[in-house]
Amino acid sequence: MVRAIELVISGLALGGIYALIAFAMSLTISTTRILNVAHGVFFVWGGACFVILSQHLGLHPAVSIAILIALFFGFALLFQWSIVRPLLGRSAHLLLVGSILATFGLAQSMESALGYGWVTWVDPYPVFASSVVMFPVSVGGVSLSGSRLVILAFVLVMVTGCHLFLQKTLMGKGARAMAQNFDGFVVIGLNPYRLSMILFALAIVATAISGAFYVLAVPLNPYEGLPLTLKAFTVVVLAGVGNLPATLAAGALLGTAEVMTSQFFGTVWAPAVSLTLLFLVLVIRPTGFFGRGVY
Amino acid sequence: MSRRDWGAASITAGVMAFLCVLPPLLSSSWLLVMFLSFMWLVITANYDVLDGFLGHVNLGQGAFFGLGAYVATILLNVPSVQQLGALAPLLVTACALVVAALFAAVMAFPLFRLKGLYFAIGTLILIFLLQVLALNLTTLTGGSYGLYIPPRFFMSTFVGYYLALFLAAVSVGLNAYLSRSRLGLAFRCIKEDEAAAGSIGLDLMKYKTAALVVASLPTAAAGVLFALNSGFIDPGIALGVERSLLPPLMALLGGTGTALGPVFGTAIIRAIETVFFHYLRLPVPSMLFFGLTLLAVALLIPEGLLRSPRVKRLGVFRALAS
Amino acid sequence: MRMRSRKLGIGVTVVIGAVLLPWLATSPRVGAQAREIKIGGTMAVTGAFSVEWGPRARTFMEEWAKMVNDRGGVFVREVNAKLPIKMIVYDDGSSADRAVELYERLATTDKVDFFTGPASSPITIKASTVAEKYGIPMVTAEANSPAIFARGFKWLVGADRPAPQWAEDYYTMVKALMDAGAMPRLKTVAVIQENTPHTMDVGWGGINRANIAGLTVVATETVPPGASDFSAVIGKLKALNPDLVYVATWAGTAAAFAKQAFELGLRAKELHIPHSTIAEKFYAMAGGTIAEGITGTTHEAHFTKGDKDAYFALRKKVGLEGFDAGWTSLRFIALEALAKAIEQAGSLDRAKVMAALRGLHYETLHGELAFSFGVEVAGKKVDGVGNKKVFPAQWQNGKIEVLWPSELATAKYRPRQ
Repeated sequence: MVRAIELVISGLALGGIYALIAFAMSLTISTTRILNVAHGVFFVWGGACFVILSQHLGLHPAVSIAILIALFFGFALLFQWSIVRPLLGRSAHLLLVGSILATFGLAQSMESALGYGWVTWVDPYPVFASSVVMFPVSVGGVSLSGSRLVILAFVLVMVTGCHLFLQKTLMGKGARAMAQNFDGFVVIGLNPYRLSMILFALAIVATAISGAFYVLAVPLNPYEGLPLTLKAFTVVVLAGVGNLPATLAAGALLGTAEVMTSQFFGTVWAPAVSLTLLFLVLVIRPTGFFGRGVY
Repeated sequence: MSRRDWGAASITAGVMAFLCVLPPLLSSSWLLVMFLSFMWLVITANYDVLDGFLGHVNLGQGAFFGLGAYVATILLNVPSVQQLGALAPLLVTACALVVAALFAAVMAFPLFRLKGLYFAIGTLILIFLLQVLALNLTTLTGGSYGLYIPPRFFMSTFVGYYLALFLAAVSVGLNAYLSRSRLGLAFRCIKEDEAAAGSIGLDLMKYKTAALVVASLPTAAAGVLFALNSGFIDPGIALGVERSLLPPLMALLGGTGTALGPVFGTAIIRAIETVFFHYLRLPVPSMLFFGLTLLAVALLIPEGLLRSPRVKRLGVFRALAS
Repeated sequence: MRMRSRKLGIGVTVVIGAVLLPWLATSPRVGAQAREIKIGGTMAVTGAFSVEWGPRARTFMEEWAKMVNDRGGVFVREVNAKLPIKMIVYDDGSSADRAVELYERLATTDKVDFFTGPASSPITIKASTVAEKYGIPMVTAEANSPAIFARGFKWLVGADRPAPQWAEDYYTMVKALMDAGAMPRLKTVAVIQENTPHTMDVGWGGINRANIAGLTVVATETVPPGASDFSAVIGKLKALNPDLVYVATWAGTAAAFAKQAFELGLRAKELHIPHSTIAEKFYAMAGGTIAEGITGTTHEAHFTKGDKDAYFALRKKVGLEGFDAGWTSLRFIALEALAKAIEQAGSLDRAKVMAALRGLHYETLHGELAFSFGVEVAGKKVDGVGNKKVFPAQWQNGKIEVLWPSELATAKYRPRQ
């Protein structure tokens, strides 16, 4: 019985990690229609910078996060100005194709830059993880992973925050408006470039911090960006693009499915389960398990 | 045929003749580079059937390649197949084509319910799923250890070059045919406006399935050729995700929906790759330049080389870009 | 818009030209200098495998060649002179396709005399096929999967001992320690293996050699490559409560496992993770609380024999310290073996050098090196495997201490907690 509870909680905790990878992407695709293949790479860079700051430079984790925010805010502005702006004005098919091509090129460049930079200037072995948060938790005989609980808490806060932002604030409403009807948005005289700049800044900073939290539990190497992007897609599509609270539920669903598969069929089949689940949802309910969000 | 068509035909004939006499002059390394380039061209041209003509971004093309490679290798390890001697490669190729076509036909049903981004993701899942299956079904596929082709069925790169060239010609020819035929016109109608196409009586599912099946065949054959020449495949070699991600990039670079777009795109990317890895010893990784090149292309030539307005102003390209 | 794009186009062309110019400038000149010994290979300088290998692997080999040349070169009796080595190592970008293109280039365009091995099992399998095709002796370093050596190839040797045998030394040590009372009595072992060829081989050893120490295998769990969540596995193991958990995975995966195991309350008497002492970063990744007391194996040690001073000087030159990148010892031994074989053969004739390699016996860093032919490993008949061992080690006070054999041991085994 205890073990069954532990399994379910592990599934939820894994779901927290998956929601962590995905929520910033959901925000981005839904509001700007840019498909950011480099999302996972930003995530990995966030983790890498956090480890350099907190482990190699010995800074306090909170200070490291603060510096991370500043760094990636600047990066987001650069990204927005050089890549997003030229893409935004294009027709739907060209936008999709162009954003895939551009962000894929960016992803390749960034991951090889990180790989090379790490082994040349930081450490010969480019795998990084942080051990600053780690503690066993035992509630009535049921064991929980402390680091994963911390991640879950962070994700809950972030998703709630983003959701409230989108629903309650004026800027959030503007973002939803832009997602629903880009042309209409422009017609009524609002500035899509400025808004998407802010949204991207938000999303990229959130992604980087998510990466920092991720490496508390799981080590990363520079080349894991693209697989992580796929994972993020999986959760986003499962949840329904733009439906931020649903990314939590989708993550939980995915995490629980994987843990159960590992338990009954062997861990080697866990990746197949998430792929199959995604495929089924795409085919049966393309708008996502939990329905549309922002749209 | 018009003068422009004669011009294009004679250029094509000239290029083909040149490529046919090239092998004795090439070093074995260059022979292999060309062989692999022809295979990439096959996958890219087949990819373009779905993207350029039908308007669907198909990130699962690599799955057909890997299927072809694995079916061929698995069968060639079966004693009763081995006893067929010289017929064995033909048999396994036929089987690979059948399996690929079946896979495409079956997958068409769920996949074509999706559009745009969702279709892209759905197709991407295919190659990842197959890779997981290849990794886990150890008794069938050798798992992470991979599978070997029995040495007597090795295909030399010299022979492979011509077979791959033939396949590439077929694939590009197919695209050329599509760009001039009623079938291709039907595809393009569907691409422009599905609702309208349906309303004039085009059976959407039939055409889309046909496109996917047709696009799977040369790619699967290329997979077979690759396996025969390689002698060894594993989930990373046969079903690596780059087999699905590079062809769209090559097609986009060269210009989708044109017969020669994939040729240029493949040639350019393979040339960049070869120059960087064979010749240059840069202090920074080649992938960095590669990525930056892609980025630049995406921003500057969004429609691809052969369709960009700037390039079209050059008369020569106008003839080639149909 | 037009002007900008035209300028951009010119700019791009200038950049490409500037990049290609150095290449044109360094093209081989006609009328080259005296005979050199050309050794060539590829390495995963970039790409997925570069995590475990990377640019330093290439630099190490190039520095080795420089070192040999500084000493005058390799003496070749046939020409009665010491000849310099030219080391040509390409980046294969972790792609097997590209590696074969490059090995073909090395064979036919660069016309190298001998090959070094690349990184990773699949690429080594394909590269050795090129070696066999042209009859070029290939000396691999880290390749230790029996599958690579079980194809009846005649032109391939590898310095490393096959991975399944890693467990032999460890279990031998375990038995000795248990008999001496230095380790608590262990009865059961659970093996976790990651689904890549190397780690599956290590896992094979963990499973099939457990009887050396009288242990019974109670569970075998295979996890996908790069797995990050082990909740189900940990749950099963907690129920079975094995005395020893043998984790045959790469270092990153192992760190994730160790942390989750700790947090979920899996405490075995002994936790053995071979790659935890191969990658020094493991300690930082897993954290001291967990890493302390974990045993592993290491390629590297404070060698006392052979050309050890030159070896350590080379490591320093390439910027490696401590136990970082311990596979450099394998690269060193492999290249040294090749040089020795050339000297013994007295010629650069490939067949003669290959014959010399087959019969080579000499003392090097870890002891006497010899290649074995026709032996059985993990149920396969292999040819050309070396005998460079890995050494059981343990994390103690944030440092890797070698535990076995006694000549190289720097500390005694410390039981966990």
